[in-house]
Amino acid sequence: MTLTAPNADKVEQDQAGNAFQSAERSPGLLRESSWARWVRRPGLRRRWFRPNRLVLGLAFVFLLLMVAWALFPSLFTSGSPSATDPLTTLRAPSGTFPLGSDQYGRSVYTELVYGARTALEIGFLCTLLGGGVGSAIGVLSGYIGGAIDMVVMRCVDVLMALPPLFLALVFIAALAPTVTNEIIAVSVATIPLFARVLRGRALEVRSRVFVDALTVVGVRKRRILWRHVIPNCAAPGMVLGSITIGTAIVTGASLNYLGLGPTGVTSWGTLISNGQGYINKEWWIAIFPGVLITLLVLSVNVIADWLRDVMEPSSR
Amino acid sequence: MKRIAIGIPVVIGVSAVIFFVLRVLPGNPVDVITQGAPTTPGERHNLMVEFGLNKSLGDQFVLYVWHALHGNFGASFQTRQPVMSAIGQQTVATVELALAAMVLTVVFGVVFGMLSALFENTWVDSTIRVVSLLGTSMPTICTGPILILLFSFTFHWFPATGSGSLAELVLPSVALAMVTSGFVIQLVRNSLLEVIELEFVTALYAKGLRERRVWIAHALRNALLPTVTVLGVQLGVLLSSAVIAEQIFGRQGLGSLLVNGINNKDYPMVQAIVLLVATAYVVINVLVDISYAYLDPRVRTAMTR
Amino acid sequence: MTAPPSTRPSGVPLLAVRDLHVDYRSGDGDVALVNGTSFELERGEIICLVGESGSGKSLTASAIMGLAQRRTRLRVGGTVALEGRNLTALDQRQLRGLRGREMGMIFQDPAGALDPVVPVGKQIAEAVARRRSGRAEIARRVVELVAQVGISDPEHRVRQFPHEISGGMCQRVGIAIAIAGDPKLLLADEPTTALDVTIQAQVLELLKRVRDERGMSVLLITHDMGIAAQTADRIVVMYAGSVVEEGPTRDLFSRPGHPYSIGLIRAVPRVDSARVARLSAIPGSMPEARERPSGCAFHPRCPFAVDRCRVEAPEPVAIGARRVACHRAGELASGLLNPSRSPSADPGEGQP
Repeated sequence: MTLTAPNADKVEQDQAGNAFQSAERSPGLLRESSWARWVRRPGLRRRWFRPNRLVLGLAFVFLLLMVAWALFPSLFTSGSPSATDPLTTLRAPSGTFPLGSDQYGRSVYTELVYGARTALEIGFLCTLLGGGVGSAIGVLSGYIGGAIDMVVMRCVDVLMALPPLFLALVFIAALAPTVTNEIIAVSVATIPLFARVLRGRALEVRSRVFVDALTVVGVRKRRILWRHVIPNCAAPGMVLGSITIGTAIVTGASLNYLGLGPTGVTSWGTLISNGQGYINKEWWIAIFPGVLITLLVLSVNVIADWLRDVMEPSSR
Repeated sequence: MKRIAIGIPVVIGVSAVIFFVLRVLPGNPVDVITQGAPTTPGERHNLMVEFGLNKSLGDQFVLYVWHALHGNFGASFQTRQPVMSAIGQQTVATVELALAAMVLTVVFGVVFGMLSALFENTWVDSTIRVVSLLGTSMPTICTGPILILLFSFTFHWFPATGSGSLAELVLPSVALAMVTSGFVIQLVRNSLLEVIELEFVTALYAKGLRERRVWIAHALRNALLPTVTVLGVQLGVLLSSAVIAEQIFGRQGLGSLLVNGINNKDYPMVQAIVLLVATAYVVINVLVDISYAYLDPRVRTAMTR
Repeated sequence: MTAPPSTRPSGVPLLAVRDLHVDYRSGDGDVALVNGTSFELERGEIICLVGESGSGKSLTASAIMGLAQRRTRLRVGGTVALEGRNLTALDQRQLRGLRGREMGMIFQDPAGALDPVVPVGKQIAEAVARRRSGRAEIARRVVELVAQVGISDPEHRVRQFPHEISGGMCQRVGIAIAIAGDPKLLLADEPTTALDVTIQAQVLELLKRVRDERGMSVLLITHDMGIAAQTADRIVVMYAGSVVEEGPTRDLFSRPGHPYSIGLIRAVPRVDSARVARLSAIPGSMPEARERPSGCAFHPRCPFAVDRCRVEAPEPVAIGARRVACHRAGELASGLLNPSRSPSADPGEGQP
């Protein structure tokens, strides 16, 4: 039986049968040259985790809840995230303190609600900012091509030699610890990946025949860029952006945890760092914000995954 | 080889980026070191001269590169000691951690990836998939405290903090491997499932080979090839998380040194550490490329031709 | 060394396939991919299993090897008796013991059937180890086998990887692997389809030589009647999962009894044939396993189909040394029907 190189997607649908049949029915000649098979790398073509509607729904609900926390924290908690009270320190979760209180007597729940803004701010703003700049660099570089493209991409290579967190750390080191500067630092860390991915896409669009055809017909370059190249890059940009939100949230929280973030701002990262010394008994201080970050990142990733299916059906 | 030739300018570029970002952007280390204490302009000027901050940027950079080429990364603004001696002591701990985490990543990746593929579409598979997805979505600042709470304070298996003994290495390296191995597990599983559909595997069964031999000696070997390439990339993730893990588990290492340096605007320290990390990252990725060529005979042939 | 010719009485054929079924279990019911195939293979004989792709011939081979059973979606029924032992009743463990030792297989894509990252010598050695042990002994035998299948400079070749050698060379390695364990039965699934014509002839010669030297029986699967004519002692023609005709090569070629066999023989390009269009002598295409027509599966494409063919599946009947599953086999054999006059035999060509 000739089970040569079955279509991976078909295999996913039904293990033996379809793959078998498609192989059996194809003409007796080789279905692809042996070289092609050697060069083809197996790997990520199968989907890892396809969330069902329920998981997707939960992810949306959770993200919306976090957005609501971030926009209207006072609707969800009556307390203040900064009011310390020496009489209520380190209380276990109870009616008054649903998720316990920290060593300064603040309600962990209240701090979590107010911390949502910090997390989402970094997640969305950095993705917009860094993603925007990175995309612009990538698309233009790929579209213009030539020497400019070469220089830009060598610069991107240099930036990619630094793991994103370290790139952010260099900027944090240079700048004063403010909210704006933290956002700038995390944004910068997202630029290289966007630039590289979208440059590839722009190159691909540019190399397609229709762009040549348009140039021949006499359509202006700028018009081609706006009407054809950019719309074709929008989908991968959005998909990458949706994944980046999760990474940016984690980077931001990590910076705050390290004590390198802005001072005097309620954040989940800081809360973990505060609670770390109490993890033996008063575990709720450090564990709950961690769980929240995980849930948020997970929700964003699940939604990103769904978005990829919707926007780039070919990647299925 | 060509790969190495690309690596060198990248490292030089990185050093330039670090240098100029630190110095061009606003913020003066002298302010931090004097901690706002009243100082006369003369004292401030002396500090600037000592740190070499009074020269022009170009001169500073040339001097920095010149010294760096001689292995001298300057003296710490804070301790006035050469940064290399401080880094040298801390590097061992970080390398230890990174190495342990990388080994765990590979072990988890191969073992669970293989189990997942062997038991495709069973509960084993779905459990591994869900748990590894959870692992990759869980940042170290979340896994760290949970691991400590569970394995140090609840079960008392491993110490929560410290660096030195092997037992103290367990939790931080597991925390790191949880982030990085998910992707590897996924890749091993999917590669295996793709390889196992190829005709040569049917041919292996037709030879009468045992299941174990088909999977381990042949399918796994083929499936691991694409996996090798991602290990280099995963190292970046791992190094980033290592900074966090060192803080959480109270370990010695470059992470603590770096955070300290950032807080004190200790430019030579930050420069040296980040450059070290970048160099290690670039070098290891070059090594990964080379080893890939060595492991895959097809690439080997293509390169010698 | 060559295997001693079997001394067993030839009462029991080496391989007897009886009413073999392979069903694909899909969500909406089973689909019969192989539908009651029967044939026998004597010791030292070469049989060709012929048919278009999709006729179930490859699957028949993989069911004999017990490889089809590995796939959970496939169910194998009927009997495959190798020296009287029914293979379809064995589990994978027992089948594994037989593979390589009692039966070997050669695959269609010579390079694709070899592990790309393992030197070919090692791959042959694995097969040799099914029968022999000892490092030196195995190494010696590998070189011997490589030389036997006609590869020059064996010591050097065994260290090479599949991508470093040609397709024909890969197929020789494949044959070396298949015969390494001295099997009695050799299954060759379209072993020459992927090769150049000159290499094809060499590989077929090699197969015949192996048969002669070792007394192996060969089940050769091909869609090419030309190859069958050159190589086979007997031919089994399959269509849509069943055997439609079976008989000695000479008989089958001189007086094909089934309309499908007639079509296949016509499809062989001849030197004297002026028109390439003869390659598509049978109009239409094979029905998918799910959409098999009622009655005789071939009737929609058959120029001689009558009403009975549409409702009743024909049983094989003996005509001389052949068995033919066709309602009109008798008429065809007695020359009452003239195949060359069939209007659909050569579509669009306006042949007289």
